[in-house]
Amino acid sequence: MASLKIKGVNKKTWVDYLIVILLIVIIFITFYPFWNVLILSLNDPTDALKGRLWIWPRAWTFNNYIHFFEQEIFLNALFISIMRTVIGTIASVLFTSAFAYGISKKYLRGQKIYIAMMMLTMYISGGLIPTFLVIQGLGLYQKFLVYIIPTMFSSYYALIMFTYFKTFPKDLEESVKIDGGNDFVVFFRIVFPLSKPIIATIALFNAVGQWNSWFDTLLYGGTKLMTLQALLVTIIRDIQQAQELLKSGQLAQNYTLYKPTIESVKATAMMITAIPIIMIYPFLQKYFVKGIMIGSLKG
Amino acid sequence: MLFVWPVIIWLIIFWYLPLFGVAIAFQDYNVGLGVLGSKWAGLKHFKDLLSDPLFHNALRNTLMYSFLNLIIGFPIPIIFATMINELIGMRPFKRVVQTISYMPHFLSWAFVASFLISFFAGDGLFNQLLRSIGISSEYAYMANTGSFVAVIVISSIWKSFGYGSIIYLSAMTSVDPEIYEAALIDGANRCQKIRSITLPSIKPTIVVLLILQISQMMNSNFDQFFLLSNPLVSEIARVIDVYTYSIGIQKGRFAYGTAVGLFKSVVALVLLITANTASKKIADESIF
Repeated sequence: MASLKIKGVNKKTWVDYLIVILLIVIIFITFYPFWNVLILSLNDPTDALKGRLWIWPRAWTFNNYIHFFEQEIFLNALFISIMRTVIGTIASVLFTSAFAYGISKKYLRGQKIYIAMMMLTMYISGGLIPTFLVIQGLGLYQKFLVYIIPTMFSSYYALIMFTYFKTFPKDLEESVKIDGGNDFVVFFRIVFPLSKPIIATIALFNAVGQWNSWFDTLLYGGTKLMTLQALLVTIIRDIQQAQELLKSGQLAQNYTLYKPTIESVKATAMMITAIPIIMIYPFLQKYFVKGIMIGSLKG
Repeated sequence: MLFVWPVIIWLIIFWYLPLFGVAIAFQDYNVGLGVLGSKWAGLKHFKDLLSDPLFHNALRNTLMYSFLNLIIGFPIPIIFATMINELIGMRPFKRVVQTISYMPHFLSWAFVASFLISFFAGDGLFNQLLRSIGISSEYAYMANTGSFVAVIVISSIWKSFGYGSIIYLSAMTSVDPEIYEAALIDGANRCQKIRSITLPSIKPTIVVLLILQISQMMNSNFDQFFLLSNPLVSEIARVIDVYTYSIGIQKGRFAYGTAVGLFKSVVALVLLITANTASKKIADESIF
């Protein structure tokens, strides 16, 4: 809130203090799950079994992480996750923004039809099973591209971009075209750099979506294309199977002093999936808050 | 234009094609024969649906959770946004509060579910906490129906309240400060200011979001239920979206699963139109 010109108004009442205290409590509760898993991952596994780790690790160790990265299954999953996030995000951003730019031009023939087609998909959809059958039919089953192609476009993001692109002045384009540039030049050299905030927001959302997704791995991925998140889900869902794996010595083979437990492996995996996002989103906060505002103006 | 065609083709393949695939719901679908070759079965699947006790169970549960989320979960982002809005100055504090409140939104349900399962286990952290202050408890929260529902609702709220408050807060902060000053001069106290300035400033937003939430009553957060449910609470954890998956894909009953999905979509559309019309009449606001 802006400054109030009337004197005596900035005096804090007991309500203000109450609000601050409540907010601190809320923030603490919100943050705690993350903190708890963090300290669990930094604690020796056997010691962690004793429980009661609230605030700080009792038996500090980085072994959980070191040994995590020594397992081929995990390294593979990490690689796939990174690949799909990077490639998927670039593909999505280009694909979606190009479309949004295209339909923002009034002189496009059939502009209204294309817009309608896009908007319609926000309200109705074919459902889980028909989509599943289409993907199988296309031969994408258990191929890496299944992580990229079916998620390349999103009407919601396209809408945000479309609203933004519409505000561009025509002269900008025209001056480039007079100099002999075509639409591609206009788009890449001018529009793209000017839309950095929006692009950053969409890129962030896409990246988070790609990094966090696990269901499509379960449905379409198969074991060779396991992602980090899906690995975590397997550990949760099939804790029996995961424990067998640990006991059978596949993971504990080379370890004499370090004995992993399912809980510590889980905690480490959780941290690895969470930390990249946690580190990035605060920096883009400004942008996506604005993006939500723009998107909400559509009505 | 070159920019537009790739996406149109994409849309046709990935949205409109599955849309026609909905026809499966009316067929005795055979994977080998495909959509064009399978025999038509009319409304058989829908009749099965209406007499399927598992479906009724799923429907009841879905509506229950949606209802709880609406009553308890809808006001919370609003309250949170109001609290932040009420604080004058304190920019760094507000920034930190907001940043941390967005965190749950960015964490995947895999993370959250994994945490919840450990935390609320019989020998989990929550019980350890209770024991350390003298309450002895070995209660398995995730294995009992009542507490399971509570965990679902609380975790839903936890995950979305911060992100959900963004839209309210941006509406609140766009109110001209002079209005607040004028109210102050007129002798308004905090409560009155909230009631007559802050809340009306977000009324359009509330109405739109309310309509949307009502229209989505048949949906559930698939990730959340899929990951948190276990055989002990299956009676109360069965929601339509998970049921569609388990019946349609895991059990391979494609046609029936599609029918369930279609039924859900139709009901959702009806809810959307009803809610929209009702709000037009009552509050003068609507989406279309």
